[in-house]
Amino acid sequence: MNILIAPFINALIGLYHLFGNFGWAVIAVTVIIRLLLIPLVLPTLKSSKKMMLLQPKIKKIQEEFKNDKKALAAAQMELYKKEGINPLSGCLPQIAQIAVLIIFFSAFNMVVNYSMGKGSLDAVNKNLIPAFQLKQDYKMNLTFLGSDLTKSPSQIYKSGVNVIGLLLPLILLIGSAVLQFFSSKLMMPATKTDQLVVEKVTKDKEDDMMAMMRTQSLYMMPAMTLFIGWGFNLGILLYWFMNSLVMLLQQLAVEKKPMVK
Amino acid sequence: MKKIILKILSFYKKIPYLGHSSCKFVPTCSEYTAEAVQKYGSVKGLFLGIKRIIRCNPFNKGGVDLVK
Repeated sequence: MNILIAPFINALIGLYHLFGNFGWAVIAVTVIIRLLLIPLVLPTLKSSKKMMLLQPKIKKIQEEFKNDKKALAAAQMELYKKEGINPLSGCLPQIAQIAVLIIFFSAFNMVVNYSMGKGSLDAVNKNLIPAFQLKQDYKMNLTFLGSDLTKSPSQIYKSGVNVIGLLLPLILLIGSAVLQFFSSKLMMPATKTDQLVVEKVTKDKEDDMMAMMRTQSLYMMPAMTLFIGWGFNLGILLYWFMNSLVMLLQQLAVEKKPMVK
Repeated sequence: MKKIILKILSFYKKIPYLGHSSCKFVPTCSEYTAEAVQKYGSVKGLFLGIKRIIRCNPFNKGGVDLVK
């Protein structure tokens, strides 16, 4: 038994038995993971909002203490204290989140490999509690809304299915990219006002460059999603899509609440 | 090697990603790692960076923490 993978694969197969469909199981597991991560994500969302509003002030301090790193750090800390910025979680939990994602991928791939005839049933059953174990020659239902979750958009495209068959893959792929774009946009809505303040403080060309790069980075993640997602199977894309959707909803929820100073 | 690591770090900072504002320290973990790599080279620098990230957890108070 793999201690890391077991909780995920049990959740996936358990929910699969419940819904009778792997697609809904993936959606449910994704939502559960995101809900469990709320205590980590919420403080980060809040502090990032405050941090964004502080950007002009931070720029000013950075300019002021250009040559004295120690004084700069102290002044920055002072500013954070004054504004009540206290990121509760820290960087380690953020990295742990990426680890969770990788473990979920391997759990998912284990199921997909088995159902494509690549892996053995034992490999899957070893990680499952007795009630969830699959019987010999059991065929899992891996179609979701008419599409095969083990196939990638590119495979579906090459196999020459009709427009309707391509609908779900494209919705998942383009949908994820669009959701990510709005997520990124929400993280940096202050670009315009920010820029004006910066222009007043420093009339550097470097700042123009930075603003430009920031606009570029707005499109970078969605573009990467489109590019990489084209070759990923639909199950992973479904996870990706749901993940981006819940993320965006969380961001919007924080955004709506009045800012507490 | 050193250049590649610094490039990756500066690329990381440009990604619009929520984790950026969760750092409890000044300078942030990525800034700290970049500085450590510049000062001590890639191997020791990265090692110091990893140690810093491990320190950056919910049970640490955070604060000013410069590369020594």
